[in-house]
Formats: sequence, C-alpha cells, structure tokens
Amino acid sequence: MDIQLHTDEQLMVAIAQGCMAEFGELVTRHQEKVFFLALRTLGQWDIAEDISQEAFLRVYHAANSYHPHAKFTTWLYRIVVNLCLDQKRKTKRAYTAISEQTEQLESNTEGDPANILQVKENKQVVWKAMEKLSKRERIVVVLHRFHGLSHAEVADTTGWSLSAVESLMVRSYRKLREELKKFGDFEK
Amino acid sequence: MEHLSDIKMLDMLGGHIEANERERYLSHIENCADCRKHWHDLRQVWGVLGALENDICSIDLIPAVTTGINHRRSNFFLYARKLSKIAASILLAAFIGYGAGRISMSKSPEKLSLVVAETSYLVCLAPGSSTGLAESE
Ligand SMILES: [Zn+2]
Repeated sequence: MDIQLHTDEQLMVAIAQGCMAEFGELVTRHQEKVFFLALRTLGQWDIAEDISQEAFLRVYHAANSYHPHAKFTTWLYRIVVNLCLDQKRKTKRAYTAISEQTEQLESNTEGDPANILQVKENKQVVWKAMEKLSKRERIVVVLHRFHGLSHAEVADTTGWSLSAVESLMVRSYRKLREELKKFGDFEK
Repeated sequence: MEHLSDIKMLDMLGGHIEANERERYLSHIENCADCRKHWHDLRQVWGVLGALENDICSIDLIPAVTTGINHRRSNFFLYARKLSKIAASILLAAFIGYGAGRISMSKSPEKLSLVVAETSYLVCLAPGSSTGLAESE
C-alpha cells in the first residue's frame, strides 16, 4: 500500500520499527503547518525552523512510546506549543522584523500588482497587531484561526483548561480588533 | 434567547457549530442589535487575519531532521562508549583493590589485629574530652 494513503497513526507504527520512508512522509505531510504554528507564534523565521526540526526529532524519538489516544496532530501541535513556550523571547524587535520581511513568505496571489501590494500591506498590519499579543494569546489565535481548531480543541492541544482558553481567546480577539481598528481601511 | 458569547461567535466563524444551532444563532443575531454589532466586528477581525492565510513557503525540513537523527545517534554511541570505558575502569580498580587487600591481609594477620586495636581506640575518642578518650561523668 502506498504510504501516502497511510494514516498518521499507521506511519507512527512504522516509524517505531525504524522505517525512515514513513518518517519522511510524516514530515512532508505536516512540516508546513508545524512551521507556520511556530512562525506565527514567535515571529522569528530561523527559530521557527529550529523548533519545527526539534518537534519532528521528538516525534521520531518518541515513536516507540507513542499511543494514539488523541489525533496525531493534537499531540504534534502540543509538542510545538511547548517548544514555543520554552523558547525564551530573544527580542521584541525580532517579531517586528517578520512584519517587515514578509517577502520571505510568498503569497497565493496572482496578477494585479495593486492587489499584491494591498495583500502585502494587510499582512504587515496583521503581523503588527499579532505582535501586541502575549505568546499564549498568539498560540490560541493561531490554532483557532489558522489551524482550524475549535476552542475546545485548542484546550485539548495546549492542555490548558477550557475556561483559560476561553478567556485567552476573548481577550486576544478583542485586542486584535482594537489594534486593527487603528489601521482604518483594513477592510479592503 | 440570551446574547451570544464571543466564544460561540468565534466557533461559528471557524465552522465549528452545527448547522441547526448556527441557524438559531444567526436568527438571533439578525434580531438583536448588540449581537449584530459584535458579530460584525468579529467577522471583520476574522477576515483581516485571513491576510496571513495565503502564506506559502517552500520549506523542506527532511534534510535537517535526518541530519539531526544521525547526529544524535552518533552522539549516543560516543556517549555509550565513554560510559562503558568509565564503568570498566571503576570495575578494574575495585577488583585490583579488593585483590590487593585480600593478599595483604592473608600475608600479615598481625597487621589485622593492629587495625582492629586502632579502630577500637578511635571509637573511644569523644569530642570535648581533654584526653580524647570518653570520660565517665
Ligand atoms: Zn443578542
């Protein structure tokens, strides 16, 4: 059977037996999500890359003891979240830098240069607003907004209580609303 | 029906609310000015955050992760080799010490009685005693 058709859990069983091809498939499948979770949480490209690598190394080394009692991504994202929380904030400047270096991130926009410019500007505005949130607030927003998790799933993933996640979520979206209001025509 | 919480609205935006419940919430929003305003604000924030949604990057972690695995593997073997060398040295030293002790004791039994005598003298030493020996009160 083609390994691309295997579930994450089936891949983990094979990885525990030392199969590197299955591990490669698992990394390919999740690397972008993992990287963006770290990048949007920390705002630092190089550190996000390091954290993503470390997360997959931990997955590899924990394959033997892995028991699927939750979705694989819940476990994987928990590893990334914990690594992000452990990561000491280097400088606030670094987070700002990502809002100025968004050319590192290509966008899925085509054609109209005005549209491309608008998208780029909007992106910078959003990065700057995200910068105002605490790390935990960012984690909650990133998981909820960009990883498609409900607030209950965010609680499962982070291991934080439902009420803690709820208040973090309410607070962070309110902060974002205030921050984004400052930029007036962001509705375009 | 009471006002909708932020969480319900946010989960609705994320598509985590079932269709019939969603319909009920939406009809409340339609008829409640407060919720309508709040819903509008949250939808706006949700939409603007979408600016980051289109990000794509051609990241390939496989080479770095594979190197990391091999590096840790070789580090582990190096560490294991060092550890086994240390353990072997300790075992050897203990064995030599034990053997040497046995030989010296068997060759001079008088030395053994001297050691026993010295030990019993030392046991009698008491702190605070002028003679160094335990004194009766
Ligand atoms: Zn209402």
